[in-house]
Amino acid sequence: MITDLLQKLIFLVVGLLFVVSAAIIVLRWKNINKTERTQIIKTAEYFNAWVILICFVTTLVYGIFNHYEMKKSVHAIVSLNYSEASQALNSNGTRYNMAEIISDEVVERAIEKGALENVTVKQLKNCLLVYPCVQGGVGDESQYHISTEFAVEYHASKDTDHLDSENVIKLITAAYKEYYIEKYTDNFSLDPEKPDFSEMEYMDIVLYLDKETQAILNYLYGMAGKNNSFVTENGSTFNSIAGKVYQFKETQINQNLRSLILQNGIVRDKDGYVDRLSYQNKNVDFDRQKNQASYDLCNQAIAMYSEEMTRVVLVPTWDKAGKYYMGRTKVGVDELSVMATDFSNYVASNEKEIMDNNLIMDKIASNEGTVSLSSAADSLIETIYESIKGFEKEAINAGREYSRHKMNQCIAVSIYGISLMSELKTLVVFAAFAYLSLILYHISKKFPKKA
Amino acid sequence: MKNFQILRYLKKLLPIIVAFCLLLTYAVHFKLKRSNTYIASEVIHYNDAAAEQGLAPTGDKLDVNEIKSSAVMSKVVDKMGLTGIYSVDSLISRIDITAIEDKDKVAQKEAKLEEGEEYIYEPSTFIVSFAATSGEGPDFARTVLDEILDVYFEQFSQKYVNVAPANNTIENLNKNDYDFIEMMELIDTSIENTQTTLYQRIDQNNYYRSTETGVSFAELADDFNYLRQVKVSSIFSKIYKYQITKNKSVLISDYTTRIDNNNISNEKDKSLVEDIVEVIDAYVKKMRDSGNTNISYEYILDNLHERNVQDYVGDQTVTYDELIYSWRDRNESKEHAIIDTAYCNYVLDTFTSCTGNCADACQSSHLTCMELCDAEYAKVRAEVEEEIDDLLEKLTVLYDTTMKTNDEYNKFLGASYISILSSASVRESVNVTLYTAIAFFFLMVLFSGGAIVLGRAGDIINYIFYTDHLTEFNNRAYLDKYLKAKNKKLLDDGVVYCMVDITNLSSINGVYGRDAGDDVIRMFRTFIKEGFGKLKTEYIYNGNGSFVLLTEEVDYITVEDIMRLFRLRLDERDEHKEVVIEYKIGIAETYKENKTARKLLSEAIENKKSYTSDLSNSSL
Repeated sequence: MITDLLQKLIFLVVGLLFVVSAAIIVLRWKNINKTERTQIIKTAEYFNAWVILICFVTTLVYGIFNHYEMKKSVHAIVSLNYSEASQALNSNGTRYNMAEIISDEVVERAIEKGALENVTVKQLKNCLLVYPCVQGGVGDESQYHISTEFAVEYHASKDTDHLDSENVIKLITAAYKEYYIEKYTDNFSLDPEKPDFSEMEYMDIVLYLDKETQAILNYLYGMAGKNNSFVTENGSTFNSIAGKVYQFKETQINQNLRSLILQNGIVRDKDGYVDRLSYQNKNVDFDRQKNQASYDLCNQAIAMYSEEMTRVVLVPTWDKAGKYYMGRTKVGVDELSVMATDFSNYVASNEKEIMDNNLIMDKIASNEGTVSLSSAADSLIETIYESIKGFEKEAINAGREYSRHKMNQCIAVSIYGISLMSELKTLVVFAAFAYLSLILYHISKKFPKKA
Repeated sequence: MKNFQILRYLKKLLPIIVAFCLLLTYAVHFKLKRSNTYIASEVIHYNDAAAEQGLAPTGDKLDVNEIKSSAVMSKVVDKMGLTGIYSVDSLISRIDITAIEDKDKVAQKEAKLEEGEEYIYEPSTFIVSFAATSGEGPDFARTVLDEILDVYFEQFSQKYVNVAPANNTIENLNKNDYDFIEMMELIDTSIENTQTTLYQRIDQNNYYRSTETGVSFAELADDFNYLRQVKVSSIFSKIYKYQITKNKSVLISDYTTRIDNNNISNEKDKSLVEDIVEVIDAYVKKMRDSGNTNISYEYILDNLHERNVQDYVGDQTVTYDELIYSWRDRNESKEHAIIDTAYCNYVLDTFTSCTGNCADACQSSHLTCMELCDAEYAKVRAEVEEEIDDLLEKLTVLYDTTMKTNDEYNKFLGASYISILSSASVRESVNVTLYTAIAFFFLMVLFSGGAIVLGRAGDIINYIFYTDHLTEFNNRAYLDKYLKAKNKKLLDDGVVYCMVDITNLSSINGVYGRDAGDDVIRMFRTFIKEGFGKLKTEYIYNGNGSFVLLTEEVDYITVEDIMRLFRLRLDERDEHKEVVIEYKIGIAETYKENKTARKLLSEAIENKKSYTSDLSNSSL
């Protein structure tokens, strides 16, 4: 703030000197004739040692303050390195919006990251500017251009004068990078909190562990879908890790753990759990009844479909999917048959669920409450949980490795401070102005006050 | 009058013209800058094949003007924190959408139409622009346009692609006065609906994973399923087992009403089913009677050859199928209502049954049997309340994640259905530099023309008012004007005033006639003009045979020499030799004490010396 003031003050003094000198010359212009005036201008000491010295000192002082002032303005270039950037997309396939570089969230993050004091998000945001380094046009196709490099400029204001400019721009770009990676790059993690297994029913734990393992599998299959052949530094592929996880899930969870609990009727709250299964059976049975009714009705509708009417609609045509079939539309009996099959499947599924629950209830009824079996189940659960966490870590590492490989760090940032040439240019212009003002003042003194 | 010389006029006023032009050009530049607008434009393209038919992915009409709908703009205003600063309408009015037609397809369409064939082609590429004022700047235009398209992409997907909602309909359910069983039914239904929606999403994109939430739709579906299997069924079973209700009477009335409604609905459906069966029979009979059911394979093949089966003609479900479906749907509705009634009866039985511990007191009480006689009832009820709160909390978190995932999925779909061909570029509506240059050129031409006109007008005025027509020198009025102008100014060094007076002009006029007098004056004029030649001189004829010559950048001696030459020329004249001319010459040069025009002129008058040119006698 003080440097800014002093810089302006120096400029003002030199400017004032220029104006005063010019005014003196104008006012005293008529006091002498043209020849005298020409004589004054011709004989003026343009290389007066004092003038040069004062000019040099003033320029030097101005240059120092100018250097501090210029340090308040810096800029950075943010380059998007991932392949989707050329389609104006984020790496997750959503539309890219450069305004996010200086969004409230990013600025807030930068303030927190740098522990910047006495500055609000709004104040800092007002000092920032973002624009594409190269922009195309919309006149014709040859002018079309998708920008993938953006300039971020920071010009300190009086509210942010106390902050180090280079530090601010570094914080902003780092915060944006962090924000971008969090928001737009591959992200996966399981439930971070370990559930209290001692409070959960054993069969619920099986369901929980199965769910968590399935989540890892989904992630791996998804990544394999993006790049099937990607090999990690450890020599694994997404599919190979998925294969391991699947095998583990089937063997350890669905066979070993589930069988142990089921066959021995291991349960924490026998009555409560049996009540729950009974409720589920009742509930599923209502669904079963509905599905059965729908199935029966489809069959009845097929039966009542007139054989004569089937022929009417048999005309060759195409359906919405572009498939060829006989008929103006698919014949009602076809559709009804498909529906009947679906309902039949639902009924079967409902019946299986009821039978599974009945089996569990039977096993629980015959349970003698052996403590050692419960301990064995608890121990197996812990082992499985730890293994799942291990798989999760392996999957995440493979995913991150792939992201690094695919996106080449996703975003690259280059910071540009003050340019020496630009400083020199300002100094040369100021020196010329100061010299002109001083010379003008020197000349103005030679004009007589009176004619 | 002076000759018409364009350069003379321009030379005189050039500095003023340039100064004025620069000043006005700056004013024009400033005005253009102020009134200029910045236009940010992006080129978007609808990737879906249906877009070229003018249709959205759902088959609805594709209306690109939805970009500037208030639904989009109000979200943009909210997102950018512009509420209260800009009105939605004012921003909408600044959006412009221009279609870019594919020339080949337009030509193809025209050719097809000329042949009488139907051909639908609608442009699927558009330039979307937003204009910002000079005060708002180019960045504002770019940012607003970016936000508009962000919101539009998301809404497009929501409206035309990813249409099924997965909203949280059970938030704060525990704060309303629902009974426990009702709450659980609502929760169960909500989870079931959400699962259905999520399974639809899984079918569309099995491995889609939100980068913001880090979950896929499959994981969300599994999470909902887990809560339903474990938590929901556990709470339900406790409610049933312990007959937990807030008000037994209301609950019984509620479920009894449901049964009644189902019975009424069943009666209605039964009647409808009978009607449909009658219609089906009548329809088949009519078709049979009209011979429409006797279709042979020849008819089918003929039809095949006649029709262009490549053209998709849309759904053409026949009426008979619709009747059959209607029959099935009505029956299904009836059967499901019967099962619902069974469920309601089950709930009623559960809540009205007596365990035997209350000695049938519950039958006449507004409390359930468990509430009346089970010591654990209050504790279990509190547990259930707590579990419902906990479940709702978990579901709310899950729904939030679902919504975020869905929002991102909408953005993803929006960006995959609409692509950006050229990202936001900003240009000025007016090329300020070009127009400023044009303005400068125009002003220069205008002012130069003006200077020429003024210069020439000055010549004319000069000739009329300030020129002596006999000598073509400036006249007395000019001398007066000159002296007035120089009155307060100091003369430069090297200014010499010279006066030449014909003292016997009146006697010449009297003796030789006025014409001879005029001839003598003209002769003086000629000799003076010859003498002063290329010197910087103002020639003035002051009347009555008096000449004033105001010379600059010269010295006394030079003028004296000129006058000596003048006298020699006069004495060697060929005309009017008989005329004796008496004249006076006065010369004065600027010194320190006579630096004003008047003083110098007075000195010239004082310095006058008399001369006579008499060719009949001896010369000078």
